[in-house]
Amino acid sequence: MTSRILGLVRDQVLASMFGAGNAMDAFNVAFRIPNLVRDLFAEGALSAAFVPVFMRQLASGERTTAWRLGNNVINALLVVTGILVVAGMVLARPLVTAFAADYAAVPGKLELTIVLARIMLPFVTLAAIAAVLMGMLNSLHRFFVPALAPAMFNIATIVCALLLVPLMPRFGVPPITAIAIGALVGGLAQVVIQWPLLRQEGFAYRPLLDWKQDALRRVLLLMGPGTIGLAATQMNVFVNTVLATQEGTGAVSWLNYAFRLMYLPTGLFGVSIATATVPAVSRHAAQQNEGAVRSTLADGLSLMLVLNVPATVGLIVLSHPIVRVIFERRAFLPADTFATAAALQYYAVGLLGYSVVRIAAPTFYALGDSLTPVQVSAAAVLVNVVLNVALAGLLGYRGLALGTSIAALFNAAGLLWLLHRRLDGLDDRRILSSFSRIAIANRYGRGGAPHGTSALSMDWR
Amino acid sequence: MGGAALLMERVLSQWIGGETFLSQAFRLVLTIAFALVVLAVAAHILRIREFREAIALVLKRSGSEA
Repeated sequence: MTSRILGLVRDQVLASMFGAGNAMDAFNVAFRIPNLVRDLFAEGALSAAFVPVFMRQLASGERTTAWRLGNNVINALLVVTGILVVAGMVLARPLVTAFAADYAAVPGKLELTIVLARIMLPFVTLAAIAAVLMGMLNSLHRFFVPALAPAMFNIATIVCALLLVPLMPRFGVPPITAIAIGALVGGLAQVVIQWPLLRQEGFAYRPLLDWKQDALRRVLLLMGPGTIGLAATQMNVFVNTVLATQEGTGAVSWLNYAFRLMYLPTGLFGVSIATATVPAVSRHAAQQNEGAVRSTLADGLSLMLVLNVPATVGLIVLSHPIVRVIFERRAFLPADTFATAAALQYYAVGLLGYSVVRIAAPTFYALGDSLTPVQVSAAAVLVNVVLNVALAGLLGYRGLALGTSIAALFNAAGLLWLLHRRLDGLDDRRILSSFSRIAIANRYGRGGAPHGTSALSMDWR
Repeated sequence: MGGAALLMERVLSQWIGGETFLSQAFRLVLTIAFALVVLAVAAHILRIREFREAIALVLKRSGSEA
């Protein structure tokens, strides 16, 4: 949560300095390129595959073997991501052009995006190593410092923004370059903050790389299904970015600011309820007690509904004042507030979907089925791409937000439907009763937004 | 809740004028607080016991993080 709040502060600082202009658009697109690779090596498939194997090594009582695996994975990542980073720097122009060909229409915008992408590409390696360190520390039951790591990224970006942005013009460099440097420093800070604690635990870095180690091979094997699922997600990010860059100056930034605002309630409510529900579901699933799984899942879904329905209504009704209070100052203009608020209204529609997936997907894993969530997610990505292409033509950049929301709801509905079949029901009456009563408590929620910002009544194209 | 939030926001815009950050933030906080009170009352009247449980869960997690 601290990291999310700091993330919001970071966005406020960036909004105040750069608004939603060409420089911010360029930064957002440039950062998506290292992020595509980072998701694969840092927050996605690798973490999910590495932690169980590392924990098994620790549980067997042989710390030396566990450290050997840690060194092997770190060095393998240094080699693989190092090659990718160099290739990315060399091929930055065609890569960025594939994402944002329309930026060539604005003098200097495509070139700036290329420079920023080159600066931020090494972030991939730093984020991947930070993720491995985090996995090792969590396996050793050290949670506090790893939890601080993402916050360090935001702190470094904020500090660089405040200190370096005013200095950049003196060196004849665009001010937004300071934010790219900040992202890189943030990646480094994530590694630096965790390293001493790991050394305390007895880990020492060794430049060894043994591709034949069984544990390393197991990690690579476990990465398979996650990587396939992730490839679909990355295709989605790619298509969305291409479509957003075609919507004119500001569209990429408005969507980015709005999405991060929408994700705050998911982080607060979704994670809280999932943290309480998922371990209980896993315990009942391990005992093969399907009745208890059904009941616990219904509890979790009911709790999720009573918090997320009001949050959705609140974000839709108060989108304009929320965006204005949080972002509107200096470079972030009233027109940016209207545009971001409109995107937020459409993103808010999908809030329930994002939150439900946080419970439904782990339930499949607890039931020993890791394939179904990946398949449903891939289908949702396909729906998202089709909808975004269609809706961008109708609603402009707001169509991208609506398409993303419908796809999130599709993902959640698909998982719930399959869980319903798998568990012979989901205590439907109780969930529907919670939903209908909370919907009544939130009535008039979609009656409109203040200042005529109703998403359906405005055209910001 | 949605109706209450909308109404409160419009009423406060007339009562508490000004476009400074402080006045805008004050209006927003009051609006959200009022909407939450309306939601809590509605949840009590409609006997949505999950609402109280959910709030307790989120507060517990926030407390443990702090």
